[in-house]
Amino acid sequence: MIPSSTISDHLALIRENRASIPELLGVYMSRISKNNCRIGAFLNVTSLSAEEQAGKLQTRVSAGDWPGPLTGVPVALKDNISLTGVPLTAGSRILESFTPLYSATAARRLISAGAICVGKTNLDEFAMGSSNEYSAYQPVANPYDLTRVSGGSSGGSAASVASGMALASLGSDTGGSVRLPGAFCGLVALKPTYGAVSRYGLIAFASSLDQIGPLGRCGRDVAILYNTICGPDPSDSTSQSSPTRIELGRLGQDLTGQTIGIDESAVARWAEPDVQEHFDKTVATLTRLGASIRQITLPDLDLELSTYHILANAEASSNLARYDSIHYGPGDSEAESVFERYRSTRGERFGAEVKRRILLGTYVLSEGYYEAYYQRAINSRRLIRAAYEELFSEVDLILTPTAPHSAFRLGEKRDDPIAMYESDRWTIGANLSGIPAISFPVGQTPSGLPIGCQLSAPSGREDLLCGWVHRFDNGQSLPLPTIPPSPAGEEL
Amino acid sequence: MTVSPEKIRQLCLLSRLFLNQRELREFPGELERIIAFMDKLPRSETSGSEPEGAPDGTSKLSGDILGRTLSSPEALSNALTTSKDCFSVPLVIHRPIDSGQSGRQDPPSSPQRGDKE
Repeated sequence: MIPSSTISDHLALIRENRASIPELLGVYMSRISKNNCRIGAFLNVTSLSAEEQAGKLQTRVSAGDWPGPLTGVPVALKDNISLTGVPLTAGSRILESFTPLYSATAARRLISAGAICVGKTNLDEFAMGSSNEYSAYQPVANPYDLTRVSGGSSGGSAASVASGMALASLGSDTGGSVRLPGAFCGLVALKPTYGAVSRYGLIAFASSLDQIGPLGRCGRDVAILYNTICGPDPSDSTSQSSPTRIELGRLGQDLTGQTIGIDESAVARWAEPDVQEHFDKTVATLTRLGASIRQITLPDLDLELSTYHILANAEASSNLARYDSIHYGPGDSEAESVFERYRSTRGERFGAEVKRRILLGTYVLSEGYYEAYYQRAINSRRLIRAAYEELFSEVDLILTPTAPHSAFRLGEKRDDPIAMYESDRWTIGANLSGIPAISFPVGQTPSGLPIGCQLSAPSGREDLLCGWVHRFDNGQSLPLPTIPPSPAGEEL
Repeated sequence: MTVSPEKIRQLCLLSRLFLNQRELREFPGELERIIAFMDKLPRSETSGSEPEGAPDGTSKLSGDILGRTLSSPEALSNALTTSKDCFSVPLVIHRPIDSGQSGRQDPPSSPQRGDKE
């Protein structure tokens, strides 16, 4: 049986009794068994609980009940999103023995809507990275070319969907961590407006920038997922009281006359030729679909990168102070002093990238440097947000490439943090200003690597983003890539 | 901006981090490059603006609402060491190892037991 490639088709199979939920789940589980050893997308496969849940859902469906808008949909959750009783690592050795006592609000909402969690996905340690090579466990390979990165930090969430091991997934986006892997793996990936989705149960990296976001195979799938997870949450004081929900019935409506801003000089300066070519084609397609294109000047992208890294590292150094192996986490239980305990935990179980960021965050917050770095960065953040507000008084949306390049080779940038940080050049603006942004596949390189473009909109206009992406993809997705079998024939 | 080994040592102490030999060797140069990369905020452009820690309208306190709290067994379930109904914390203050550094013990960035290449 070949399961459908979109949520709507999947639901139709179940509704029309052409396949049962356990049968469909079995196809995804079989793909995980076959492909995960090659790709490394999952850190933990929850097959038993998934099968149990599939059976319960099928019983309800057979009795004429319809549990929710995601009934029987196999989803993957990034392993920094808590699920009660399921071990959580955040891609770090410092949490390798941790089991959450509660579920993240977004995860709970997915499951209440009938989704089945098939596993927890790999990520850069504490979501700090752009390639998923900074996971403490293993890198995630790109399903379109196993020698290349999946993008990060939600690389496992993207690769699991791109390779057909899950139909949809959740990731987290602090500076592009949902959109970049979405672009590298040929998916639609949404960073919602800050506060639209509760962060309760998400392991904090940089609290003023973090947002949970969905990844799916088309714009409509992402709209369905977003509608399911958004909404107010008393457990997160930064959640919005009434975020905009997307009217699915209006997704296909004519958007003629809306204005999309592009900054051609910035694209020419930073994008590689393949990306530039597909960006130009996307502009032409959007024009054909009724968009009016206007030239704009984006805020200084170098300034955004500086501001972002100062703020993100400062917040990370504070958030990660809690990992001392007193309340949770492994370490030397025989340590005679607290410093000895720290040595066995923070010294030995944080990876190099996490240590670099904690040290940089401590540096910009320390006496003598606070005013020169942190204070200027929070001032700069307001200027950046004002610049986007000004732009959105002229245009309805902004189109950019998602990344300056397609997926690069594993190891190519691993030891060059600055080259890695520059992959986020186009994505961090949405996190700094709190606006929503969506990455969507616009084509492939001659060697078959996906290329993504990004649309940004004013706060609360996820409907515009998903509407345009739906108009662009018309409910279609890239075909599943063929994953070469493991040379040793090994399976999970 | 030069990041000296002494500066790294000071940052490690502040952030309770310990570096292995390789990190001690490589971090000064790496951090220097990253700080230069971050150091692009012109003072003139930012001095007149109001600071913004989080996107507008989202920095607010939630009300105090009574709710369920974790039981002791739940709260302790992920702890490495416990004692009765409490978290067990290793000794925080004890006699300094180096009498010349009163109040400081085990300078964090000096590689000792357990440090690996």
